[in-house]
Amino acid sequence: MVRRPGYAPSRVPFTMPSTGSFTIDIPLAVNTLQLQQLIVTADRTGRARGELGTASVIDRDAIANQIASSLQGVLELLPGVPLQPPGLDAAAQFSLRSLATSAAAGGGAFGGSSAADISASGTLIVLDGVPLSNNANLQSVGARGEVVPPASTAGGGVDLRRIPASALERVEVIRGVPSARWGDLTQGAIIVDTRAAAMAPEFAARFDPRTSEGNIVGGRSFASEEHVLTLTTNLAQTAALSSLSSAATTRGAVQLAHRWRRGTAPDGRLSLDGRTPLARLTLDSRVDWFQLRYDAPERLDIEEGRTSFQDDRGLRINERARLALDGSTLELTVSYDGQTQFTSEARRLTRPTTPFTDRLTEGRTIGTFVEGPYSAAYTLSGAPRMLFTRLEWDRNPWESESALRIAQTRVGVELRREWNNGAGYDFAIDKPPQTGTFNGARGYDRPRRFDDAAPLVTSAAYADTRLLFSRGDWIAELQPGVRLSVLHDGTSWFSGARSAMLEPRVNAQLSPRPWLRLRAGAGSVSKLPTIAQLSPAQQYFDLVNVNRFTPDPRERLAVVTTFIRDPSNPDLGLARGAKREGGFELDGGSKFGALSVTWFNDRIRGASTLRRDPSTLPRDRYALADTALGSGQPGRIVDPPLFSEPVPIFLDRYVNGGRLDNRGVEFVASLPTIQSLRTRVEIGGATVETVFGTDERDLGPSTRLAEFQVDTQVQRVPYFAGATSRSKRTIITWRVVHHQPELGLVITGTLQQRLGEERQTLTANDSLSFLGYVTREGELIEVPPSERTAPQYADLRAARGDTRNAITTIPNDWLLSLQVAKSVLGTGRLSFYVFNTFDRFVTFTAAAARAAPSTRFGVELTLPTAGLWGGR
Amino acid sequence: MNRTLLTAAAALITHATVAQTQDTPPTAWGRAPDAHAPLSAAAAGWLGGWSPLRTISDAPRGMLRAPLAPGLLDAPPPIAGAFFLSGAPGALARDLATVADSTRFGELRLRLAGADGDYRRPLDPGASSVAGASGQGWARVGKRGVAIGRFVVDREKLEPSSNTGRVTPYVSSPFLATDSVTPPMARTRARLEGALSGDLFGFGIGASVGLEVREHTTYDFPLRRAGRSAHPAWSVGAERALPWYGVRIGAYARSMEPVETDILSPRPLPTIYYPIRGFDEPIAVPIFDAVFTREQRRAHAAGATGAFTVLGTVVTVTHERGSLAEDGVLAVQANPAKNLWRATGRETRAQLQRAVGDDWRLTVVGVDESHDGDAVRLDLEGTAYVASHSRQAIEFDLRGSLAGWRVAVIAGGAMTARRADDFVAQLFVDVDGAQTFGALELARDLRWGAVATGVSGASSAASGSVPAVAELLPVNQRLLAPMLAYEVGEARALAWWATGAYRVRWGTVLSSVRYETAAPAREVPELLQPSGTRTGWSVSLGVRY
Repeated sequence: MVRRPGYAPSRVPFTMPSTGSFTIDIPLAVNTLQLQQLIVTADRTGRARGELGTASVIDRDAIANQIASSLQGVLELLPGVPLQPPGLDAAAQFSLRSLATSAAAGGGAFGGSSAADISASGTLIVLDGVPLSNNANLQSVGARGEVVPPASTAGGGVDLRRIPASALERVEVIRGVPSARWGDLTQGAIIVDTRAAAMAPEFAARFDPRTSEGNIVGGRSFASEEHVLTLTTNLAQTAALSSLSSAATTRGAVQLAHRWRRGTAPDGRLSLDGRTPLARLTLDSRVDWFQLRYDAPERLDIEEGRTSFQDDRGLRINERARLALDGSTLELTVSYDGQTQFTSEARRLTRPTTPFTDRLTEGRTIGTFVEGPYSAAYTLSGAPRMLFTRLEWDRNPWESESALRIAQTRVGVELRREWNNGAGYDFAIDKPPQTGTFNGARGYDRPRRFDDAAPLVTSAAYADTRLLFSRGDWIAELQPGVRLSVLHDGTSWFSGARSAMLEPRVNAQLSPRPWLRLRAGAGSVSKLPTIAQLSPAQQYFDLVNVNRFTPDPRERLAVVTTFIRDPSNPDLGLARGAKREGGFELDGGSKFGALSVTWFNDRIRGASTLRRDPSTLPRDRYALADTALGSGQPGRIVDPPLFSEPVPIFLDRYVNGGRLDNRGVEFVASLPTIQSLRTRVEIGGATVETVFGTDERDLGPSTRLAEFQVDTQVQRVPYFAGATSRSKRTIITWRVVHHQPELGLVITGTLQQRLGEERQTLTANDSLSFLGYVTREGELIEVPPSERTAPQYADLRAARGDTRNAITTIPNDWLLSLQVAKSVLGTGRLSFYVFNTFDRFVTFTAAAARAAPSTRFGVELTLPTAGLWGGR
Repeated sequence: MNRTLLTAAAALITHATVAQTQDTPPTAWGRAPDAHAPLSAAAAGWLGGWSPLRTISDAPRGMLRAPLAPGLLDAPPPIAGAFFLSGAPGALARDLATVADSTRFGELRLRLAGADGDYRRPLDPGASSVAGASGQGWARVGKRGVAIGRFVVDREKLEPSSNTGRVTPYVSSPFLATDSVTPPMARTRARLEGALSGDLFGFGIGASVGLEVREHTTYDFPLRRAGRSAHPAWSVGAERALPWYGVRIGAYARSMEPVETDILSPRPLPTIYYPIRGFDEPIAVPIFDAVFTREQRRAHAAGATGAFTVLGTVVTVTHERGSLAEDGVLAVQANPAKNLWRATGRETRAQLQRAVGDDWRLTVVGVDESHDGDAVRLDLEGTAYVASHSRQAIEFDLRGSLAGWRVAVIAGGAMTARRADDFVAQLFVDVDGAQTFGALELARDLRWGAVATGVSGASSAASGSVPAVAELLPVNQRLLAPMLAYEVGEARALAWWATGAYRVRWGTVLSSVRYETAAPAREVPELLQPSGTRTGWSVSLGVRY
């Protein structure tokens, strides 16, 4: 990259000869849009720094040209990522190389983790060298919850809306096997660098009918460039489509970056920009603040009594100290991330006449009866915290005359602690945000505190090296590494290991010709369970002993016994993943274009999913006394109870039972630029197949279990093998970029095809598909296949009920989006965008339909204001 | 069937439907539709002809307005050629190559405008105001290419709106969703248009693309009417210059797929839904749940162009034939019932341009266009409604210098014929109209810049038959009769404007104000004809560079 005052930065790729000198003329322009060599798409064949796995690199030019409100919009430049309208409409979680699947009878069938949750949480987001984590996000109503907060990402990935696109300098997306440096992931890693350099202040504003956004970015150096201070601010608001929702999402973000460089490296190395000497000591400080507020007030034309509110705020402080040693670098990273999360939901619910207790401890209670409509409201007050530190030693390339040399060696350790200080889940107990949960055995949820949950304490150590072998045109690179990830069982790093995993990883690359690159990678990865999974809420069971409901309210009597069970699983540990990929790249330069193809096969085993564990509770039955009608008295129970009967219950417990397989192929073809038309075409796409299932049993439909619990005539219910869900989809994206440097004009047309999408549920659902049965005592009795036709199992040979083998084919469809960027007023930029230009709406087949996001359009104006700050 | 025969007066009159587009001021140049009058107040009329968004086989019926200013300070004088006449993109590079003083043009403007008044049709908004930005320009690209582009971004408020959420309710298609309320509405629009042309192997090759998107919603009203529209259009063309008499021949094809989606959510305020289907009395449907309507249009046209120079006059002729298919659905389902409107049309345009003396230039533009269509209702089989429309218009533009003043004069006239026959209602409309219009603008160059002022006017009247009010049932008396009375009424419109230009180092700062009014020349209250006046104003500030 070339920078000169008064001109736009100019990036020019070139190949440096092994000997001699190299001269290149680099034209500069006042406005980036006037640069001949402007590239506004991702570099799909690039490599992330220090990584050999398949990666896409999105630099500042491409980010600036992408109409995006947040990091998620920028990631649409990756192959196989569906286009979405720009804005803050919905929680933005991102999954690499994975699809959502149906929840039928899989782990997500009754409120557990879905394939989308698992893959989103397994996609690591690294912001300025420090992972972002969603592990301590408890903004969820749990497995039994009914009124689900619409904007929550608990259990899934980080909400990318917190990262404004305007703050991004460079995004490296490691889609393949990340190096051992990165942990707590299963899918890949997205390495995000924010803007931190001296730059003229730049003001940008965006407006569309639903989104308004403003950004100010500027940086200044002091003291002969020893200090650089950069400020990035963003304010954005998106209102939902007014005919569907009253919701509006507002984001504010401020980032202050400071870099202090002191001295020069003892070995005279240059820094990454290739022009300035590497400092002896570099201190990178970052202070990030964000607020993301979702507000959907009541709107009578949509739903009476319904409100949703969510306010997430966070302050993140990073400090990275790099000390240049003779031939190596020592880097210490310390980060503290503190957030407050507040969710408030209200709904108008109606419940049947029900015995009720608000008891918070175990024991018998004279309850009350509740019935009819009421306003159910709750709040979730969370305060996730994360403390992260990493110490890394990075050895410079060994100088060697031999064909084989070590290009890089890294050794590091990581410590991480996550916890939640929040007040927790709160609501009026007599107006629970649940109506369907209670059945005379299962109870309603009770409020809980989040700060009771045990912290998530982890440590890791890693080492990797990059070997380079060259002979003639042949160049081979190998990056082996290993990582040890440890989940501790206590509250500090000095406690023992609850779960640990050794994760060997290797990436290899061979270039027999300058235009050909063959590569492959394989490795093990792991993902931590979340705090919510490690410390789930206690489950309440309110067994109705007496349910005497008379016309006269004074004579009614409800007796309820409360039991509390802890569903936490001491065996819950790391989910394990195995990643494999292989591919090739052909690079014909500007004359022939480039092609990159990658096959991948990722497997996750032991993902955290819910399992229903049967158990039993004793229900006491009492005789009643003084129950004459008309007495005006509720009567009384006669102790001791007449008898006790077993009531089966089911504890929803997180286990390492999920299986998630993702396989597919990605490709990117960059066609040579048609100079006469000043047009470049790039085709990228991916075919991905996701298979999700659990190793755990499936107890059948919830309604059947509810009947089994309360109907003492039903002595047993069958259980089955868990079903498997499969999704498959091909997305091909055509990007046509027409560039007129003389006019400072860039027109980008993006056509995305969604092809061959199907969703399938694979299950055995014939009358002999049951594996065994559950007794009223909560025992699991297996029935061998050979005995399932026996007469004594006739009651079990019923239709499974909750799932069936089915394949749904979603119609093929396409979307076209258009963007026009034009230089204005010298160094400014005016951009128009139209998402879904043809307003494609709903596409039907005989059995399914696909709805496209509606047309969205807007304009963005960027105005550099050089000179306002005086310095550079 | 009873009919009322209306006759109208003189040669200087025409009827209000003559306007080429929904709100377009009278001109023989082509133009893409705008929603309402304030939106098109600040551009020279001739610059609209090349728009790929120009309608195909359709005739949106606008309210009468006075012509736009010739734009002595705002824009270059009219340019001859098939691109600016009909949007034939292959001709763009050569059209501009012949104009030595206009090889580069660019302007940016900010605009405020408004219009209100009682003189309007039932589905025109009561009052509208708009704030927006626009820009246009052209420049050479490389050695043999030319690019031209234009954008408009604006936000319009309708207070009150009308009984429909549709952006342009008065088009040839007889289908329209209306309701019983006129809530305040906000509309946001972005329009992008551009064309690129160059010389390749001796051929002029070009393409143009246009896109207009809107989103609208009600506000401060106890029901929700929301919607959006997307109107993409494109054209490609080629032409060949022959070595005698400056002959150029070419061809082009253009296409568009506008779609508009509207959702009426009558909660908490129930409303009544009136689906208009021609002249049949709409069924009044009390609604309590959302009503969805979506109109999808596909239009294609192909044309040929020819130009030559003889006796110092550049003559350009274009001819185009096109077709339009509109499907209207009321449900989101696999195979919904559809209202269908199918139309075919043709359009011939001619232009002559020559110098008159040393200081004057005369441009004459004429157009002859017509189209026919038929409609099938979703609730009936067979053709329920047919309509035809024809229009012939001519416009003279003379501009030059006189005694230190720059002068521009525009004069023109148009004849139209509209016939529509509803077989279900057994009612028909047969209206012939005539319109004259003219404008005068004077500009004076000063030491620091220039100033200009001008006036324009238009007059219209018509003769023909429309259904008598007594023949119409209550809803049509409210929604249809005033519109028909407007069509056959006599009206006049006047406008005044002033423009100032201040030269700066890097260009020219432009500011302008415009005021206009329209009113019936003769009131016919027994026909439920709209009365009163309608006024509009606009203020713009911009730069030309």
